[in-house]
Amino acid sequence: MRIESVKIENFRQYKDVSIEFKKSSNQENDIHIVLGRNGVGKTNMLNAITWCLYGVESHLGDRNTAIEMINTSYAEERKLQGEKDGEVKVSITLSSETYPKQIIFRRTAKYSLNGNIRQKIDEYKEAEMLSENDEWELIDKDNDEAWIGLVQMHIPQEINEYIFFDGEQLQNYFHEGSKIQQGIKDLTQASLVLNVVDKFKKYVEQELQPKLRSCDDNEIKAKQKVVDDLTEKKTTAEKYIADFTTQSKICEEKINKLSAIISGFENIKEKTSELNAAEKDLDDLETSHATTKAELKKYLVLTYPYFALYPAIKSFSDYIKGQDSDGKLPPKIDKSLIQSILNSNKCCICNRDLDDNSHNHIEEILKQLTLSSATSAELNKTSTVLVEYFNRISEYKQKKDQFLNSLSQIEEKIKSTEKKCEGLRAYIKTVPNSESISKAIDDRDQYRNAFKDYQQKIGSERSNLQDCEQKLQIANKELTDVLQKNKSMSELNTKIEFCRSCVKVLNETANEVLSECREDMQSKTYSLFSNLIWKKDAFKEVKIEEDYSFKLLDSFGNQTLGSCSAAERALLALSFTLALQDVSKHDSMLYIDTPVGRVDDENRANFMETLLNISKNKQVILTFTPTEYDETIQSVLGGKYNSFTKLEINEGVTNKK
Amino acid sequence: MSRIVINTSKSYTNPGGLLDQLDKSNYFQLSKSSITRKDLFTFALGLGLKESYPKDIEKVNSIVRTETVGNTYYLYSSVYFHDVLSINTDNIDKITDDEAVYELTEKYANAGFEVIEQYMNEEFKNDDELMWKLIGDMDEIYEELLAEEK
Repeated sequence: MRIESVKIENFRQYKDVSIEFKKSSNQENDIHIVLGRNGVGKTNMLNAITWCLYGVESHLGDRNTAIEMINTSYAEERKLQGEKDGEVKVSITLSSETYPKQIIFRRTAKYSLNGNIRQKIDEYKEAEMLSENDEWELIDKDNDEAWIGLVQMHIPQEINEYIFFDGEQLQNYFHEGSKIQQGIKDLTQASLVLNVVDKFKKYVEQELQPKLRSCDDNEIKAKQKVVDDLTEKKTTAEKYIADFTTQSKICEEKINKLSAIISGFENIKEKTSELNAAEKDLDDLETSHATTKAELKKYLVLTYPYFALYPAIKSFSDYIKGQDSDGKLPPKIDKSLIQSILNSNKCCICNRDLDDNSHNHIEEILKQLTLSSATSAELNKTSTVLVEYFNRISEYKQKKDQFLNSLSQIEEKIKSTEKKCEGLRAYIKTVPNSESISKAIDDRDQYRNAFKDYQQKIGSERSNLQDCEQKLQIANKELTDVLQKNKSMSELNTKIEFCRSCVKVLNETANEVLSECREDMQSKTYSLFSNLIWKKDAFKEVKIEEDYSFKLLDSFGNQTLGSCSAAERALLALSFTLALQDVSKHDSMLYIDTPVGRVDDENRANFMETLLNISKNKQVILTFTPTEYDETIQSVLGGKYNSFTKLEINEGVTNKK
Repeated sequence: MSRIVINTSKSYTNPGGLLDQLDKSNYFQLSKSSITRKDLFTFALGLGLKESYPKDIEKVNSIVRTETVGNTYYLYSSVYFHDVLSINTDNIDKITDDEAVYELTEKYANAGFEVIEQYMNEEFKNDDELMWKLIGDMDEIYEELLAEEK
């Protein structure tokens, strides 16, 4: 399906603009460029298209504050001409390879123009299609069913957002988890099946079960109460599971976002604390080195005198030893006592007078006693202390070595710690804004804990749910048995049973279809993405989980979606869209408003190249601002576009230049 | 009457003098917060004996109370014995003359303080260098002792 042309009359900035998107046979690429400054109405062209086809402006900034869609200048002119109403018209010509080959969709809104109030008073649509015998066939404007059929056949409203994009939407595609889920459900028409499931459930709950509750049979009432209680418990468990799942998904998204920030710097926090610890160690080592050195110095101060005075100590010691070996130390006889004996010439013990021999002998002893008692005592004491001095001197080498070894060990440690600090500082220096990364690590840890917590809660609630379901099955069976006994209730029971069976079958069908489609989508998306992506080998798998969370895995199985560049994310969204179109067999075109608005300079060329490749197989309409349509884009395009439309705005009215 | 204090030159004990400088800089752990004045005096005695010669004290000022000297006294008396009594040991009784012992050690320590001053302000401004010098000297003496013993 392609858009051949769009004609917009009196719609917002547009007064009367027709744009052709024809494909010429000599161009390989079916690519079309629309260029215009901000505010010229590029996005409103997208709105005009969705309004024409579906009656809604899907890309309107703020519906509540937007002015009426009728062009102000046109409305004023009409009033000046004395007209009381005016019309907004958008028509789109589509072409298709299947019948009908061409269709023109037209939508008109009629506005009353009384005073300053512009009010929509009517809206109608019509379509024309080129029949097999090349005649235009008008679809009556009252034939809603035919109109909807034609639209759904070519651009189903459910998947219009996979055809008409704005750049922003591509960026945020995977932030909105439900979009993927909804897209797949819509495509597979599982939504339709699930709607029927809901209807069956409502019918049972609101129509059939109240009749059971109001019946006269007490046994039925009692059994129904058990069923009701269990159903309530089951609903509560399901609600908890849904809530916890949502919460854990939020945590997972946060974890992914934070992981993207942290990516490559996972251990910054450890490294920072390691550096702090190493710096503290270094301080301690420096202190210890200074202390040891001070102790060594003090030891030297206290010991040096013994070395300096060694000759004195030695000679004194030798003298004392000599005296001692001569028996002069300690004195055996008190020199003064001997002297007093000689003086009195009497023995101090028996008091007898000394004879000459005795006198002479005592005189001889006195002569030999050269040391006085005081000196002798002093020398004795000195002798003991000098031994201590020698011990002190002999301990020197061991003590000195202890000090020097200790200093050398500390110095070694200082060296290695300094080296460690240097390495850590160099690493931390390479990490931009290491504080915010540390915070991100803390936050991620918290989210991880919360995620685990929710997973445990989900597990516990699932077990409750399983328990409830088993009990409910038994309770339902018991209720059925009781109902079967009661003939007046048997018809009601049959209905309930039928509805339950339908719900079961339809749920299984929807799940099977969804599961198949999910698998198909993930392999097709990856295959397209890996063909389109310029950074080969960086991504290994696309995974759409059972809960429809989207994962782009690297070769290690890590989620990389959060750390992808804007261009890669947009490309992935594009791949998903193309896969969706492929799986749905809706070979639609692509309309992307400002596709490279968020893509950085480096990846613009790559992204544009990709779009150019896509345009070989399908129509691609792109809108740009002049700034976006820079030399890079122009050089990639190399004039390979089929149409180039420049829009400009003058006095609030957009025209083709 | 025995000695009560040990003296040194007033120039060292005056404010701004060597002791003051040592206390402020803690050069080679020689401040009063690191070691006692008795240990400082004894260190100076060692340096004076090894590196200089006894020098008279012109204006005296007390530096150590003798009651704190303890067993270190025998280091001082060894110097006295070696310098004075060993020449004629008949006078050995003079070893008990603490006045004579202190007088001689004061002279050596006085010379030692001059050496410290010189080390601190000129020769070994970085006291680590003094550390290595002292270790070198002590190693040398120690080696001689070992040789003697053999």
